Amino acid sequence: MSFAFLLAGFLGTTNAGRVARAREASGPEPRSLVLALLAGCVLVVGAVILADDLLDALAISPESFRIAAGLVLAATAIWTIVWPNPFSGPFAAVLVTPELACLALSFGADEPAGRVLGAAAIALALTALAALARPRTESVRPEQFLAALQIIVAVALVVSGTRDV
Amino acid sequence: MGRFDGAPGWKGAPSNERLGRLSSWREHRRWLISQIVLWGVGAAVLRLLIVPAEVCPRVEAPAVQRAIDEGAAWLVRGQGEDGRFLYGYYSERDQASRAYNTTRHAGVLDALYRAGRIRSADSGLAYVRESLVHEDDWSAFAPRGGLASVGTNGLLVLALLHRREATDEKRFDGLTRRMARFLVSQAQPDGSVLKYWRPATGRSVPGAYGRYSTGEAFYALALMHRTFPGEGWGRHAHRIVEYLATRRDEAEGAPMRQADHWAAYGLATLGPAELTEVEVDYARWLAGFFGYLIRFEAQHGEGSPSPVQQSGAALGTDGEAAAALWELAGSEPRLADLRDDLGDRVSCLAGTLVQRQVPPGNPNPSERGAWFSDGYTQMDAQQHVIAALLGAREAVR
Repeated sequence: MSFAFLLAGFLGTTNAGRVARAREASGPEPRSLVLALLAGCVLVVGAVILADDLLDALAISPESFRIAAGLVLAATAIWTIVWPNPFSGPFAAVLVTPELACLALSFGADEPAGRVLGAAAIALALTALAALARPRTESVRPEQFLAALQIIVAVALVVSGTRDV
Repeated sequence: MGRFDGAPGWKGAPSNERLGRLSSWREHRRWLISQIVLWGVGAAVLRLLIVPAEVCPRVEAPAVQRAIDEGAAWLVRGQGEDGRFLYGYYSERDQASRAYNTTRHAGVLDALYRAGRIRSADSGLAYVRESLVHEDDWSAFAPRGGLASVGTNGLLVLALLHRREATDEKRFDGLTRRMARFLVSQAQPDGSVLKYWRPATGRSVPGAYGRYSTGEAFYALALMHRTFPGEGWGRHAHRIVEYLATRRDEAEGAPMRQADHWAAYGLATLGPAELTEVEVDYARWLAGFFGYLIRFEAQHGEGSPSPVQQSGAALGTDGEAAAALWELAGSEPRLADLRDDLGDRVSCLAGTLVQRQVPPGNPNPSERGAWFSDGYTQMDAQQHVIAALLGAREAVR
């Protein structure tokens, strides 16, 4: 997998557009912003580090899990595009999503941890910037655009999972 | 009086911070519960339907060899005096099938020669030699009143070549070359291969192509090239596999590139030094396709929450292709990255196949050593599984 593909996956699943809208909707305290970023980091780092052991324990090959991750990404992205409701939970949990967890597990099982975490760090930094920038409009377009990117990544994962040995 | 007053550890009125946390918990309680349910249900659905555990029974080479021997013994036990084999058997009705298929007969001969059952295979070959047609520079087997099929004759060429390898005898070399020339005569300039030749008209049947016969012709000609280098067979083999890899599906109306285990054998036989980039790409595609099928079977076998029962023949062909490509990946640097994963898949399927075989202690000779699906077994189940296990023997060592 190319680094650009890893980055595209994390940009889609961290979805800076959704985070920015959630911030507009809930007006979280600075502490919640930091907590949200921290929770996202913990989720990604944990999933990447534990990926091999977890999939081994579940007796799932990385190629098969790629298919599952792709399906989760596709389902959640379609949901975001069709029903782009603002995030309704506590802001600190805005990045704790099934799609980010599945993607980090899949990438972690397939690629060296350093590359995956590098791509995730860039995506999370951009997401943090988006949350701090406070956009003036509450447009759902950026959120939907990134969800569309997530669908492309999802399709690529499923195809790759069915074509690899 | 507040509800917390007097509770153990309670040291007075709750602080604003504590009240804030309580309020936040109440506010998001429903969301949190819904998330727990969503993650739990999602994980369960994924586990049950999409990624059940891949179950790969451990197996070692002696067990693989025993399974080969038992499977071959089933075929030999079912052979009649005319050289034909028991075609199929329904275990619940204790009834043999009366059908017969000469392409499967040829495939069984090849498996038996490869498994070292020369006498039985020779008896089956005698049945074939009674119905040969001869034209110009070629010969072909055509059952009485039937057509000469490229698939059947391709498998017969393979059987004769494997017989030559097993016995070091050359007495059928002339016949082998004549039958191989029949395959070449059916090949078109674009690499497609007409499936039938009709003895009554003395012509090929136009527009009829087989799903597997083109790959069988390719494998047979590739093995001819390896056995008789310098005779020009390789040129025909490359022309056919190039068609399989690039044009067959569009030309023959298939929605996607066909997974063809015979093509996998042929590519492995042509070997690393002679493969073009197109052929290497095709081998990689085949490896991915058959690798996925084996993973799927490992996830959905017996005992899985979402079982999908495959016939022995289907499982066997997957194993044949994977084992052939594993061998190729061991000598072709452009495919070396696939070697370990293919080895894992070959071993995994070999374990499943050994486990699914009716054990040698079974008192019914029509069941013992066979691979059943829905209470039925057919000669090609044994043929393909034996061939898959022959290929797997090296991988599980």
